[in-house]
Amino acid sequence: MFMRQSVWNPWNGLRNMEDGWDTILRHLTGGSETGDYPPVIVYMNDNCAKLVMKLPGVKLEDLDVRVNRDTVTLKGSRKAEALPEGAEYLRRERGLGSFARSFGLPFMIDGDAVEASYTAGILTVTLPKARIEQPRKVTIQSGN
Amino acid sequence: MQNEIQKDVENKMTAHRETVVLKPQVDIIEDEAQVLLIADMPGVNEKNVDIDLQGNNLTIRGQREPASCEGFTLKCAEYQPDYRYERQFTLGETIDVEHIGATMKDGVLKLSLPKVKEAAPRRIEVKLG
Repeated sequence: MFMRQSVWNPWNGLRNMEDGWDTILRHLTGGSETGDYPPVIVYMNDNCAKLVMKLPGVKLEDLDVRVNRDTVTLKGSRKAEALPEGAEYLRRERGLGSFARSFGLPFMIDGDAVEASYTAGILTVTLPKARIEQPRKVTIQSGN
Repeated sequence: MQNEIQKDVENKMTAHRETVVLKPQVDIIEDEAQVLLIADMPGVNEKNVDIDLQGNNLTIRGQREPASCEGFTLKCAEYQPDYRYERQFTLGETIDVEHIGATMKDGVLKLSLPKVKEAAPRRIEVKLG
């Protein structure tokens, strides 16, 4: 039997530091586990995948969703609003700037049938499987 | 059999899905006339937001409109699917409660809290007769 021995590893300290950084990053990016923005929930059924992303306060013209083969790419930005004259920030927590994320799906996407909607700061992208990926019944012809 | 087990697990997971309470991230902007509070609450629409001002204590709450995911299986989640927002603030200024304005757009709450105007010192001109 193989026994795993506890050996001093000079990199452990560094790894702990990395974990610390992850926590900080997660804080900065609004609670996403991976630190990527926007955070996503992926749903699937037999015919399609659905991505639901928390993405408040973005203008549609600043959002770009593209599909290529089995990958969907989201790019966008949230810009600062002009501060009225004489006004000042007492607190500033909301994130600004550009973001980009790609998702590789386990199937080819039917690009023409992709739907995306943006409601109450939630971006939902529905990605149907390409027909080629869907099971089809094969008619068997009689040999005679 | 495997399907049954999976279904059972899914049912149990649904039953145990809890609503988490999240703190919205905010910007607070002040000028002479008002305090402007901007809060990110994605998934909350204007019907599901609640603003409560008791004295100097301001509470904002937002309920998430449930996402329609019927017929779908959850594959991976980077955030809790069921959540609501709540955060409290203490205001340093006296607010003109009658004229509070609130808008909700794209999951962003904008709350304008006008300050009570202090009685402006009046100057009475004395005209020479």
